[in-house]
Amino acid sequence: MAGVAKKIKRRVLFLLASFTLLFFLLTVRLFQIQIVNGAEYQQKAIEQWTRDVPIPSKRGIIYDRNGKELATNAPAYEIYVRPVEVTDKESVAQTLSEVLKMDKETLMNKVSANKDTVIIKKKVDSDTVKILREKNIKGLIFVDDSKRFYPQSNFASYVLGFTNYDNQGQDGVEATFEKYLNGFPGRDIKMTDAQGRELPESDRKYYEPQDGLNLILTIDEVIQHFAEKAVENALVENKAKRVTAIVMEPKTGDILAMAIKPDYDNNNPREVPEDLIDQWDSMSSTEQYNALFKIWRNPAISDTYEPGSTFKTITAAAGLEEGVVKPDDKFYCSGSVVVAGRRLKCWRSYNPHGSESFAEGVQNSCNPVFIEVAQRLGKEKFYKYIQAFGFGSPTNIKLLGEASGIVRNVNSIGPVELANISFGQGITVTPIQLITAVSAIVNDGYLMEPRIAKKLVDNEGNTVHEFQPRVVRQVISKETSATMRQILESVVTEGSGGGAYIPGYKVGGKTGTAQKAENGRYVPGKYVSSFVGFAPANDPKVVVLVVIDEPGGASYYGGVIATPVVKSIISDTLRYLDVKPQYTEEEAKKLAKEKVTVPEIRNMKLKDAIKLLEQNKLKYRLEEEQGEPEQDSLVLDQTPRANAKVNEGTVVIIYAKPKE
Amino acid sequence: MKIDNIIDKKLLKNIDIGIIISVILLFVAGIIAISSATGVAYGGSLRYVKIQSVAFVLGLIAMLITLVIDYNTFGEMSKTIYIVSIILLISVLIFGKEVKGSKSWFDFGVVNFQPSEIVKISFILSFAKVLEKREDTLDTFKGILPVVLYIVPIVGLILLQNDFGTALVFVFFIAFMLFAAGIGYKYVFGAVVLGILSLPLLWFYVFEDYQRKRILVFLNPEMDPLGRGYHVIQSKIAVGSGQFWGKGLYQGTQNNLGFIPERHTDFIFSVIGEEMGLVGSVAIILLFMLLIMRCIYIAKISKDSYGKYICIGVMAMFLFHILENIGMTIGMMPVTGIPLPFVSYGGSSLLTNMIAIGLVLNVGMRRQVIRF
Repeated sequence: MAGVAKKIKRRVLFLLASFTLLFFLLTVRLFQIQIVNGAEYQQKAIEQWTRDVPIPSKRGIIYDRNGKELATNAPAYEIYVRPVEVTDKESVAQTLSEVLKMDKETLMNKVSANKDTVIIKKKVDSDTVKILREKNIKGLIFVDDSKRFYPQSNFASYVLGFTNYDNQGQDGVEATFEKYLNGFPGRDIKMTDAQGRELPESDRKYYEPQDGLNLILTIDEVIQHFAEKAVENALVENKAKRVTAIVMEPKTGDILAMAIKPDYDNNNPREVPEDLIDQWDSMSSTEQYNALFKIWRNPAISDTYEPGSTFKTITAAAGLEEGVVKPDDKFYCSGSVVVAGRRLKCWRSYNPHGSESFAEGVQNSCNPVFIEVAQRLGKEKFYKYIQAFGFGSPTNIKLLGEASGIVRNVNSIGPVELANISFGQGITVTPIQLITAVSAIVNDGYLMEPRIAKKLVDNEGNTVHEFQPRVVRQVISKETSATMRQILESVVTEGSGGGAYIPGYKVGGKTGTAQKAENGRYVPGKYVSSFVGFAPANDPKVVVLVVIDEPGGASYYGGVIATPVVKSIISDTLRYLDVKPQYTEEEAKKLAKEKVTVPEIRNMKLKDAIKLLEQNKLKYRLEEEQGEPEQDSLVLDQTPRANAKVNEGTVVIIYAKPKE
Repeated sequence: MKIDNIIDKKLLKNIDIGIIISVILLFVAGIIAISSATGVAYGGSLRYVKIQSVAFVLGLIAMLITLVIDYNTFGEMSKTIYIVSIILLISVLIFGKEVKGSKSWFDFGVVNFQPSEIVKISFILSFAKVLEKREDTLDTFKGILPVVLYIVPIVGLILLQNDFGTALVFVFFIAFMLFAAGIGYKYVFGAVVLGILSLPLLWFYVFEDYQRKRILVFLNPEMDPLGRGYHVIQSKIAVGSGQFWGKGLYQGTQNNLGFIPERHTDFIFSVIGEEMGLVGSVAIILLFMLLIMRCIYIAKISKDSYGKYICIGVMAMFLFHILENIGMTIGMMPVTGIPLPFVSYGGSSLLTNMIAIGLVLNVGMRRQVIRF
């Protein structure tokens, strides 16, 4: 009996201990739910009783510097369906698939979904919505929205970029200024009970959407038009792969125009490229995207190339600034120069330039002169200028995907590489780097950060933020800059840049023709021809760079094919900017002189061509960067072309076939 | 029948204050939670609060009556009590009303009455007597068999009502009482093994579809978030979102907006968890713990085995309700319609619980009377 009682007592104690444990377990579980996961459940709770409807904000408009709309918003709609209200699902799906050009199967799923509302399609234009509205389908809801619209379609494509379906910027300034353009979407938060009934006048919160700011670019719509037109013509005439033109205001670094052809339609950036239409469906989505990315890539800032002779401007500026050379210093071109045991030829080694001043050397684009200057500088000093002019690092222009170019490490280059760089080989640059550097050379020496956006304004037109021009550093002195302007002007008046000569406007510049390198070796027949010009030379208002990639026409010389493009842009622009022509006495005299017609000399023997020009009271100059012609060589090309009306004594540049 | 003078100082001195305090506090917490769950602060009707208060007063009266009668009187009447219980359960099968699939209610027009509630008490009273008589022979098969035969008709009749939850309560407190009475360990293990073996049988042949579904949904509430899992998911969201301090009394969004199901009855604990946070929830658990501990303490010090088994039975009944109810609101137990003692809205359950508490107090009060 006593044993039983003791046993029972023991068991009661055992029960006591186990319950303590069970209650402890309950507490642990409560701790887990309320403390460890409390915030998560709190979030779930809020989600349950709030209906949060976003109210889209109006995206800011993009204007050119004079207030012309470049990107704006067009009305569009989002279409939703309330499946419960749709009675004849089959026929509604059918109608929708016809009008919206969507898959019927997908639509069938949407109209019969077990949900309150289902989105059918975003960004539907008002015409389509009108058709659907007239059909009076029950259960369809149309919600106002807007769609990005570029009034001129293919215009400044790479500057503007485009947006995605959610109106978020994807490329160009649309992407880089996204946070200003987008604004803040508003929200309408309503409280509902467990049955989904809206609670009247409960804590409904309405947040007004805040419209995006309007963006004013530095682009001038008119100059952009000039550039687009010139680039388009150059593309067709030269059967080129691509033509790029940048117009910069040298004092501020403002990009006045950036035109690239071929380009894409900003309103329809995902359009299947024409050459891929046939195989498009068989391509993987990665391949499709890569193809589109190739189209969206902005060559003006993302593509690098060997600048060739245009880079001699940098070498010259560095030499003058360091005082290792003066414009009148005498040089002697024997056709070639031996550097570290390697013979480096001048492009006119068949007919050496002989004795020449430094200024003439620049006019002649004489390689040994620049090799000599680079040697006098030494690689450290030369590199100091290359880097100070911004090569090898991005310019920080506010566009996506800027490349840095390749500047080899100063320690890894020897005398031959140094010599090569002096005339623009063995170094790669982006067009935006080159034009920014040349702008620094002619604007009293200030390297500017390229500026694409001028300011942000609100809807009332008040300036919210102004992007000030930014001086990165002064690279050369005012005096050196002035000297460079004179020398580069003489390149146009006396030398290889003659194709850019515009009477009355003092144009300066430098041509360049470089063979394209692929996989580390030069590819015969593939060239990059360029010209960088500025005007007026005494007080530059614009700097223009034109790069013609893989010209496939009769000529590939920068002096022949790139100079007229620059010339056309500069003359249009200066007239538009109302820059008064300043004729020299000589020019005034020439203007008064009788005009002569340039004869056709192409396909003639060189000696006959020279004779014909002399008969017509025209001067001539041989231009044969690629090799030495003979008296019997055929004339390949001429500048100006036949039938141009020019003054007596105008220099016609002859491009003759080099000796085999 | 032995009726004592309740005013007798000796008796009153021995009344267990801990139990009384915990019951009153639990009831007060319950009334406040019910007022919140029925939206009294926002113009809801006071009806539920009033009914619950009336039930509490009735419960107090019933408790006092219970206290006056010496519990051994019930022991003497155990056979009668047992027979009346059986008759009650049979008649509800014949004359009863079906509510939510269980035929366990008498409909008296104004008042509904669920006999299985009162049978919980009456069975504890009669079964405790059986155990007292047989506590020496509970480790032999011969001793156990009559006990089992005593249990089967009651549990069987409740199962026939299709009230699986209540049947579980019975199995639970019967097991505790048997354990406390010193049933041999081999039978304990035997029962456990038998129980496990019978699970597949239960699953495939005995359980109805809805019962199987409840258990499946318990294991994975997301399986049916808008149907059977809805209760658990919503309850967990409410409790969890209460975090440490709770959202404040009458401030629970899940409660006020109607996301918590059955919030004034079975899921009253979710309302407390949401509005009073971990602090309030743990306070409730501590009060229950106090109650359970005091019951066990009284069981330990009771003057005879009959009193001990009554206390163990009542304690186990409460324990099952508490663990199951709180457990289901926080996803530890499957959902069954079992209320939280003293807290959930419900007249007959409050009344029964008060009587049960009266019995425990009764045992505690009379522990020293036998002293010579």
